[in-house]
Amino acid sequence: MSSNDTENVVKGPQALRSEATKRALLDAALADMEATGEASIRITKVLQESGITNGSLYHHFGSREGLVQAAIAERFLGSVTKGLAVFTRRVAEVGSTEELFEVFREELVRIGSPDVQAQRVHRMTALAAALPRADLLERIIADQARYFDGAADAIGRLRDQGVVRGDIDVRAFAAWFLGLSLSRLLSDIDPDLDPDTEWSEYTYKALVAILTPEPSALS
Amino acid sequence: MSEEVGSDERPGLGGEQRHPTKQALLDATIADMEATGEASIRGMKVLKDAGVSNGSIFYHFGSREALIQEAIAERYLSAVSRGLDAFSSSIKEIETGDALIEFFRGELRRFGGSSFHELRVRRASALGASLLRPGLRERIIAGQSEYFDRASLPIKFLQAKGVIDPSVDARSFAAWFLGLLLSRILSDLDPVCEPDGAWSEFTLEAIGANLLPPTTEPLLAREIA
Repeated sequence: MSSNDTENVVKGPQALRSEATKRALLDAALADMEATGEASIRITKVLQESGITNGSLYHHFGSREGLVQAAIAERFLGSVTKGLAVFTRRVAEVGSTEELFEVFREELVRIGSPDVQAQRVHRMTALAAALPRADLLERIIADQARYFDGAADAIGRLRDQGVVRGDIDVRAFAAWFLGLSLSRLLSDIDPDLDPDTEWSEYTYKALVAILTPEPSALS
Repeated sequence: MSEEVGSDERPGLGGEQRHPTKQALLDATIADMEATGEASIRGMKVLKDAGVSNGSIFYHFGSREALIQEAIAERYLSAVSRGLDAFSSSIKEIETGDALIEFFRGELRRFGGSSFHELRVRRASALGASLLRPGLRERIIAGQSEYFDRASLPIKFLQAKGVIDPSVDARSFAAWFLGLLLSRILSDLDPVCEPDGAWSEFTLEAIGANLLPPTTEPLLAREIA
């Protein structure tokens, strides 16, 4: 068994233990980040919380910075990918434009839930931490590109079926919409706004305008 | 096009006049933040760049953390303010729905410029850094709220003229739109997207669908183009 196809092999007990150690370190770093902001991740606290030795941290992440970067990258997209998987499954089952807009309506409700609101805070915090660090930024951009690709595939199938407008650049649309979803954060934190109604309504109208097939395609 | 937003004039947030030492400390902190990120702000470098003594940080800000918070708030609010000032100058002269879409088309083209990308980077960095700090978060929210109010004025003006649908809530739409503008950063950063094309087109269609009065609504922005 060569070491370069580890993706597809059944992991032995040692690899699983190693995975668990890495996970525990990441979770402790994320929890500390949550409580106090990235600047103050305290390595002694992370080690204490995860019950893992200093040597282990350096073995798995190379340095404090390595652990911080891994935690930030996970914060930026980790939780979002789960939501996307559910959404793309729903989109794959859609047979008409009306059904697609119904799925988007439900997605806009989901986007307003407290869990997803918290995700947006995580994502924006992670993005801010990544912007001044070139290698971390490159890493989250690559993760994000895969995520845009996945969403674009789902919409692309609908375009091929004539459910959405035929000339749409699906990947650019995926990036536009996923960016817009993150930006709901600005309305979430404003005390006088009611994004569940207003923000969702503007977004829904925009989606209908952008995705509705050309009149000729309807007949 | 950097002269549009890139000047070093003080934005004069809330008309506050700062002590020159205080301003020098803030400027050096923001510069350091922009170069290397907040986690690594080096006290010594800030003092050297600002040309002031260690005691001044404590005299003017009370603590290193307070200086950092002030720098983050300034970074965010001045970026929003410059973006907005660049925006709303000629919007009030618009007379028709077509002209409104054309106006936004020109604005979005300008917003693709590199100086505006830098403003988005500043906004995203400062916003992200503020979210986990309660005092700072409140400050950013209050500052941002003022900008939503300011941005809703031209919308209300055009509603009174009948160019924009009077049933639109100007303030919440302004918040939606200012968020959307910030979110262009995700497309800017992506290696495949060409936001000057598709991103701007989607945004124009979104504006047309939301702002044009019902009589012109069936006419999608792409048909006007």
